[in-house]
Amino acid sequence: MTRSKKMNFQINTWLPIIIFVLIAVIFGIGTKGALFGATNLMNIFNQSVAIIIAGLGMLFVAAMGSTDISCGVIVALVGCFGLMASTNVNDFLLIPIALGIGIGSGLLLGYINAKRKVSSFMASLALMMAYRAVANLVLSNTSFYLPDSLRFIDNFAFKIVSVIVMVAVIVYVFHYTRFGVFVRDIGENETAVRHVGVDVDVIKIAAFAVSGLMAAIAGIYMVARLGGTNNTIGTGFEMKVMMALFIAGVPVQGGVGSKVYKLIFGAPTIIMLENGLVLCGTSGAVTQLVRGLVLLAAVAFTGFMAKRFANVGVEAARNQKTGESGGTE
Amino acid sequence: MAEEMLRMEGVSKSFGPTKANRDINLVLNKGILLGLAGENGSGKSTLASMVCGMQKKDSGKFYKNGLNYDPHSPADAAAHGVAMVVQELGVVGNLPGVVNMFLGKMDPYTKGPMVDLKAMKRDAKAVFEKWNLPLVPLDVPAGSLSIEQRKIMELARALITEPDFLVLDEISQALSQDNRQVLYQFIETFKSKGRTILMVTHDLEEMMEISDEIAVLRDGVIVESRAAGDYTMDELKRLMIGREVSGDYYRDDKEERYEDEVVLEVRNLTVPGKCEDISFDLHKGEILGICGLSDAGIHEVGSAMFGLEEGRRGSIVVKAENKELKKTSDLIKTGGAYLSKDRDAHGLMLDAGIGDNLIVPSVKELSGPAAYLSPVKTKALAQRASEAFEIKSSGLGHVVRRLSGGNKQKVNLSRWLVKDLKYIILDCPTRGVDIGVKAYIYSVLKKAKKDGIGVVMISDELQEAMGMSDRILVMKEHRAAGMLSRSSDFTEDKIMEVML
Repeated sequence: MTRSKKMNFQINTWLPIIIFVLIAVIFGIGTKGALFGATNLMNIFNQSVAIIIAGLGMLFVAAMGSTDISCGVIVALVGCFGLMASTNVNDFLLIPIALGIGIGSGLLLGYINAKRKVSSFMASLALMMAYRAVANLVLSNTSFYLPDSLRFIDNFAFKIVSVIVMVAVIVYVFHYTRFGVFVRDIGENETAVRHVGVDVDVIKIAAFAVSGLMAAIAGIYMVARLGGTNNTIGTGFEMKVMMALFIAGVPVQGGVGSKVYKLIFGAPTIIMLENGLVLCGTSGAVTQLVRGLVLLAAVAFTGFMAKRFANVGVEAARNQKTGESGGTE
Repeated sequence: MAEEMLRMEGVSKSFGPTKANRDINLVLNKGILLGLAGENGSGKSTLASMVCGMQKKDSGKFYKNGLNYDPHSPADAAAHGVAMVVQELGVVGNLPGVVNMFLGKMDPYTKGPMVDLKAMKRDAKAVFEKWNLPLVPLDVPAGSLSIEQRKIMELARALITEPDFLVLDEISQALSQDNRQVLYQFIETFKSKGRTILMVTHDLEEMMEISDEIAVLRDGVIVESRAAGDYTMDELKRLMIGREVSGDYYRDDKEERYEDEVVLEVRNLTVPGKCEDISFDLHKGEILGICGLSDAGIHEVGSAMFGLEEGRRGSIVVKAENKELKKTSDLIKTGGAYLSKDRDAHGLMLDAGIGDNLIVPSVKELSGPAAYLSPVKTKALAQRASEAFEIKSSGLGHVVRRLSGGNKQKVNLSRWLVKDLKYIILDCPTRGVDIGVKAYIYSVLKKAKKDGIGVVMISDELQEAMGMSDRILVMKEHRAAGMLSRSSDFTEDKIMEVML
């Protein structure tokens, strides 16, 4: 039993790592090693940080089979109002204001989705447009800069430690608490979760709040990296975060296949992909094209594999051969 | 000598390592009904779906009317005069009935970019009339029809193409007594035109009654095939399971027996239009059956007790804690459980593993400080449930969708029964379950009763309700029509009298 379990090779489990290595090798060769230059590695790390942080939150929403495309614009709001407050009142106000914006927006989105039954995609799309307009209004003729006292956020050591802490906390919440279990189970079958007496609406709202919160934290890091804000900050960020999740095999329909580690590999994968293409000298348009095609391939492949190997494994085969299994009807 | 309609020669099919059908040889003559008997997972549905072109066979041949017949799709099968009513409801809920009936068959009705709904409706009605089926409302979305109406609609849909070979997979289970009679009438007419039916049903009594021939499948192999009258019930069961089964798997005592302590006190439970003024006490160690014709409101009593119905009035009190049930979570908190009759849609996470499914109801109890959910504890619980209920699988990661109906129900039931329950509400616990698992579920219920759990068992099978209950609440037109006791009133006639 234990022996056969070890041999139970689940392609989906290894897919994020396989894709990561594949992209690294392809562009490592394509850029003649330039991809792995010290400055470039640092670059990849810096760009991955925000995506990982926002992805940690979006994972909760994605696991329910829902969508939250408001995270890019939350970054913009954080930059806008957070830095406005720290410029005008107190440097450190950026942080509480950012967290407030994130949680508040998440709660609102969750409420609209869970209680008002608006699809999460539509609701977050509407919020995205509205928030972007607010950011544009405020930032149309001013810009804000990061106070020097907050420069430590962009410090490498601080970043790596804080990201590890956040990943650890989210791994705990997502994989080892009942909240995490219910979030994934909602992605599998919402009605079934309702039928065990769980208040599904509360879980949903909380999941969106986590998503908003993490997007806001990502916003703080992005603002710190940029040293200030403008009205285009965060545009297209939500797409990158989603790509990081789905390229690494988080199921688009949500469910128990959603795992934190997939994101951890997915984020640097897409950054490498982009970065590698740029280093190879491809134009921006081609980069976009390749990005789209790779995402499509990854998602299609994940779906295909999930079906093909739903009860994969030597173990399953062995049991069924000896007639132990109930099998299919 | 009777003319031959369909011949199967050496048909085999496997799914990965599972051999669903092995070397099937079977001949179906014109004008007969052949019943296909077998436990869940014996390969009945696989065989049926190959005949209908829903799955491709690996090897072997079909001959229809003497000609080689190798359908590559249901539409192709229909062109050859083969139609099927599937086990899982195959209607598009948001579309009106008439559109559902002609899904994929609309070509004759297109006028440019439009479809001629009127003509479709006329033709749909004609099918109902021709076969003497009770007309169901065709203008409303199919999802708002009852399961029974949908089944009849699906039957009518299958008949549109004028098939001479019809496959019915578990059709009668969704039907009430009165509509079953309609179905039997229909079967007679259909056969009298020299056409053939292949029927899959778990209801062995029904199968013995209406089949001309019965073929028994076990582990993908036909173990016996002969005239229905040549079987005895015990023999049939033995052939299906491959071992001796005692004729009686129901309770053998003839007295109602339960403790005086009331577990649940239901008073004036009302959901407008669904159930009216239902009151009863559920005692410790009692199995309380709830019976009625379809649409009598028996299922709604269950979902209303759980708290799923809007606009519920009346009170349900858990006596031990003197707590009134208001929300779904109250029922779980007070040691209750509710199993919907729609196992796949409401109960299970089909694409998740057995282990993931088994722990869901216990997640709250299992989580420790800081909401910590120990993987060791959850795995142990899943293991315990899986072993205690003898769920046949390749391990806790086995995807539930790939289990047979009976094993699915075992997962569904066991995940609740590993908990320390005080009462449980079961809505049709043996629906779509083969005889082996059925017997097993009854033994589990007997044990639950012995352990002092109060059981509400909503059932549309009279035999089952009579076999297992201490008392039966009979419902008629959304109201309680009578409460019958095991010791004095349990005869089919008596119950039917109250029901009608």
